[in-house]
Amino acid sequence: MATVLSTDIYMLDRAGRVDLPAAAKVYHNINADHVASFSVPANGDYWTDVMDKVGKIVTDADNNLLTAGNVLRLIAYSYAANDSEAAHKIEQETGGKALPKLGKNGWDDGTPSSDPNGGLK
Amino acid sequence: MGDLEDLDTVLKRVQGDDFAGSIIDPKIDKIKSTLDNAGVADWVPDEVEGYRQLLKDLSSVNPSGFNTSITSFRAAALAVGSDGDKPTKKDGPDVNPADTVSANAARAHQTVSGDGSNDNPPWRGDSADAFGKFIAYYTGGGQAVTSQAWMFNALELLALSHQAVYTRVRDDVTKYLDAVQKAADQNDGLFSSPDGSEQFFVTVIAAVATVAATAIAPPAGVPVALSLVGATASQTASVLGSVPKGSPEQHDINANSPGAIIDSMYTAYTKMQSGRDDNLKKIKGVLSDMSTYIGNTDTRKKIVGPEVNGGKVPIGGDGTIDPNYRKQFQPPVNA
Repeated sequence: MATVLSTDIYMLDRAGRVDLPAAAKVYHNINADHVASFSVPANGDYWTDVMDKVGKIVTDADNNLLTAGNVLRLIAYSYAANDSEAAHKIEQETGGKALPKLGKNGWDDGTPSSDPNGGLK
Repeated sequence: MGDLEDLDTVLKRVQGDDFAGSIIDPKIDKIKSTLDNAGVADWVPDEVEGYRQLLKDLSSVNPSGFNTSITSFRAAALAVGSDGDKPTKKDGPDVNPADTVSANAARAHQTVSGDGSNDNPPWRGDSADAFGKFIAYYTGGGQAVTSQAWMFNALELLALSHQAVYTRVRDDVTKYLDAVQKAADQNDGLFSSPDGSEQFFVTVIAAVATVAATAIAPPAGVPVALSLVGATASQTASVLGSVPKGSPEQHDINANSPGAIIDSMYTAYTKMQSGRDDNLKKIKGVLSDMSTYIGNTDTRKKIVGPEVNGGKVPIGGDGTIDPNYRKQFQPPVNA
């Protein structure tokens, strides 16, 4: 059972780390390739208006997927802190770096959220 | 009424950034030359110059300029909806759950591009029904990914319509000029007739009116249907189906003098201009309504998904997570 749970935790991390960012990338590309590059026809201010809103929707979708991925990773790390097998698998997958641990007020090393590398050194 | 050519065929003929220089100028110059040679008193060359500018204004937009946007919207819809080709959500008595998303989208596209032939019918009741199903799915509370695909599908339809208006207008301009030339060519015979009573009668079939029905009507249904969220698909289809089937308008150039030919030309211009302006006004209205709709908070929730950035995520016992907690515990960027 422990192995099954470890695999689940690992999958949770992987979804947050790889799959959802990949989906977010789709939206990022849509915004760049299809929305932002839209060519407005002559006297077509109404197109500008609607495309502006479409751009915001797509950007929000992009951000929401990334945030959802981050939440999944948080959950995975929380569980992995008590599951050495899952922790080892995640560390392997991410290049052997130490798994950040969640403390009461943040990452265990106190790294602020503004640090793009989070708690990893 | 005569059938119209397929829109794609016409587009190939009238595309280009130098339509004025390559089509309008040579044709008008030839008409002027013909009428000059007729040497008749009521012939006023200055008027033709005014009409030349009006026709150039009418056809100033290159319709193929929309191709990139149309392709982009289609690609975007496929990108977000690549896994979304599911059976249509049953959202009303007229929606067949067995229909897939792509099948409805294909029918919706057909309502825009239909050339009026039996194999490719223009806008009418059954295509209105197909478009109603399309819209019902879009507004039916499906998964966020699917709704985003529909958003792009709707934009694609609007871009197609916009392109159709400019394509048909350019085609109409070309055909009118050809008809005027045809009348002018016969002036020698006309005015050499003993009593001068003979008239030349040239009929031109203008497509502008049909564009309004085939291309504009489906997108025009978008905000109607979107504003009817909660209404059944049959209600939606009924609204859309009330749009009458379009047919080309017939305009006659009925001339008994060169001056009358020019007057007919002006009349033709004003009809084309008002037709074009009406169509553009409809498109503008649709886009404006769509902008309002997708800018609405509740709609955005449906299209984008839960507002995690607003402090709510669909995870946790009560469906929320403390926003401060989330900010502080931003996981490390992929190691």
